[in-house]
Amino acid sequence: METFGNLAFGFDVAFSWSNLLYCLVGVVLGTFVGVLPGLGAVTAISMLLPFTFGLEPLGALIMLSGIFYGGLYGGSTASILLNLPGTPASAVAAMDGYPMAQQGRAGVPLFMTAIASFAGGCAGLMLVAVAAPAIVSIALEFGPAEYFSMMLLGLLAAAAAASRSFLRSVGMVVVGLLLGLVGTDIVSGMMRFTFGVPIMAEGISFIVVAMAMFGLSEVMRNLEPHVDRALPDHGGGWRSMMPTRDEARRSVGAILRGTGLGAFLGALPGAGPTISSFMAYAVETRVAADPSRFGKGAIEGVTAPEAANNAAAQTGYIPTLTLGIPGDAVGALILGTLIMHGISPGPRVISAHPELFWGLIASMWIGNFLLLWVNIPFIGVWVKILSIPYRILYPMIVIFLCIGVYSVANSSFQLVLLAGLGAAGYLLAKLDCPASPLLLGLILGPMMEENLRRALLIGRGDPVVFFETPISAGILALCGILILASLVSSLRRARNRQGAA
Amino acid sequence: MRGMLTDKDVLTGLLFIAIGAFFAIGAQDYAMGTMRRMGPGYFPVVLGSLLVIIGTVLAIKSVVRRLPEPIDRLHIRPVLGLTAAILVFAALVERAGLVAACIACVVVAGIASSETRWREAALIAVGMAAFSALVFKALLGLPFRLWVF
Repeated sequence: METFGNLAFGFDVAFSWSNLLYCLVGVVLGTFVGVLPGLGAVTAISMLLPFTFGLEPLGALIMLSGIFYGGLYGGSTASILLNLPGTPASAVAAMDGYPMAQQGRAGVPLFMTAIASFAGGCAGLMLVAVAAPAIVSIALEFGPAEYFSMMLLGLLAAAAAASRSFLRSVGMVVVGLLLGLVGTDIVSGMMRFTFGVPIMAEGISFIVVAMAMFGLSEVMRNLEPHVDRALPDHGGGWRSMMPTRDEARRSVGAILRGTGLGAFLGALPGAGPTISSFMAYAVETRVAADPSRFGKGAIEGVTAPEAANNAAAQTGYIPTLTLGIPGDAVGALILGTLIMHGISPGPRVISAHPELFWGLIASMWIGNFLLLWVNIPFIGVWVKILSIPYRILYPMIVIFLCIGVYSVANSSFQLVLLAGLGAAGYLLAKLDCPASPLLLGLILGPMMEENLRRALLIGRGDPVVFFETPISAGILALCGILILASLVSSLRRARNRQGAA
Repeated sequence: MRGMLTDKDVLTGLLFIAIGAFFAIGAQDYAMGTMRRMGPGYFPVVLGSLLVIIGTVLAIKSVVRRLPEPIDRLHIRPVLGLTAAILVFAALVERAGLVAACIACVVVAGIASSETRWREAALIAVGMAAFSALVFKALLGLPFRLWVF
């Protein structure tokens, strides 16, 4: 029953005029960037992060979160209409949504994704409200050894999820950890890798890295010569948003399955909305009586993944807010925002800042509700936005990047860093090196080093300290299993490739 | 064997080796300390070495397998155009003010794409300068100077 009291308190906080406004601005902006192809939620959040410095921490979190889950709603619109996913998590929606659009029935999947997203999001939030306090009570017992092991597991899981080549992703995690070392060493006060540049003493800001890797290098790739894609002719399909009775019936089960799967996967480190939506699609093709309908416009192929990715987006807040260990790039940015506002992440966040945690949850509930009204009646507006040509869009993105990065520290040096890291990010993308493990490593690096040093100090320099408590030993065992499984599966894939060649 | 030089795995491996070596060697100036009391050099040396190992394994694995997968074409124009646009903004924002920096940045960014229509770009430049002055300076109160003479 305590949960309800807390939620009531949260709604009390979230229903203030300013917080409602931040929520609305967040979800509208989120839908906007989600709809635009080539501008994902991570890019949008990192671009707008500097402008939230002036807000209260709760206001900033409400707005940035709104951009995140609003982006998932909007992302499916681009997927369905253009077969061009606005965000990776909504790529699956194109598989069955786009064929429906081609049949002149685009309104049905657009309407149903909004409903499925709403259902998934609400159920995910319910799980956060119930599970987070329970996890916190366990996490309060954690010492430095447990924290170090937990972060290691989080990084490895994120690496395993980010790319087909495990070694590559682990390499990118290590690059991130190394970049995180730049700046003042917390223990000795020594400057590391600053090359005498005074501003480097504060380290490389994760915001600059996120904007360079997810913003600038993304724009560089989008500007490569490409084939133009035109909006399909959807006839007068907008009026017919209502699914047939049969489709509505089949969607109920699909939404329930997708929600359950997404809520579970989202809470695990590494498995975010994108993986959840792909898994949900796979499950639907398995349970369907007639799998051949998929790919040709089966409604379950749209509703299950959309419910799954929204549920996962919400439960992804569990590890970030209870343990201080983000599961994906968005979680990392949310964590970074907390740190920027002087809140040290970890199990004490909920008890020390209850208004922050419960207010955020309540606001996400409100936000999911607002999104229904932002999306369904105004779908025509979003479709218009889809047709803005990229040549007009990208100079605006560049200006936002410049002003955002400059205002991180009011220094031009950060802009030089942005340009360099952006070009580096372009090269890394060409080498199939995923950027999100790097960002996670960068944000977790300093905390990891601190906990490692502390744990070894307690253990008198003996690494056995990591295996002394059952929790830490168990987590490290999981890490071992994860490494083995990933290496075996990539070896097997390599062998298959060789066999095929 | 020549094809291996443009192989994605080999290039990634070499890049990892370079980055890892840079940090591991650079950290030689910092005290290593002991396992019990790690100095500031300990973590970078361990991580840098780990990255060198990962890079080596990646590259060797690919050379042994002898199935090169060449890197996609690198398009220089967007990379140079956008890098230049950002550097121009960086150079102008404090010396010439926000308005000039925005206009110059948009115009230089136009070089990055072959689809740029210059009349349109000029409009965007003026529009973005006005928007930035209004929203970022006036509304959000960021500490920019609009004009510097």
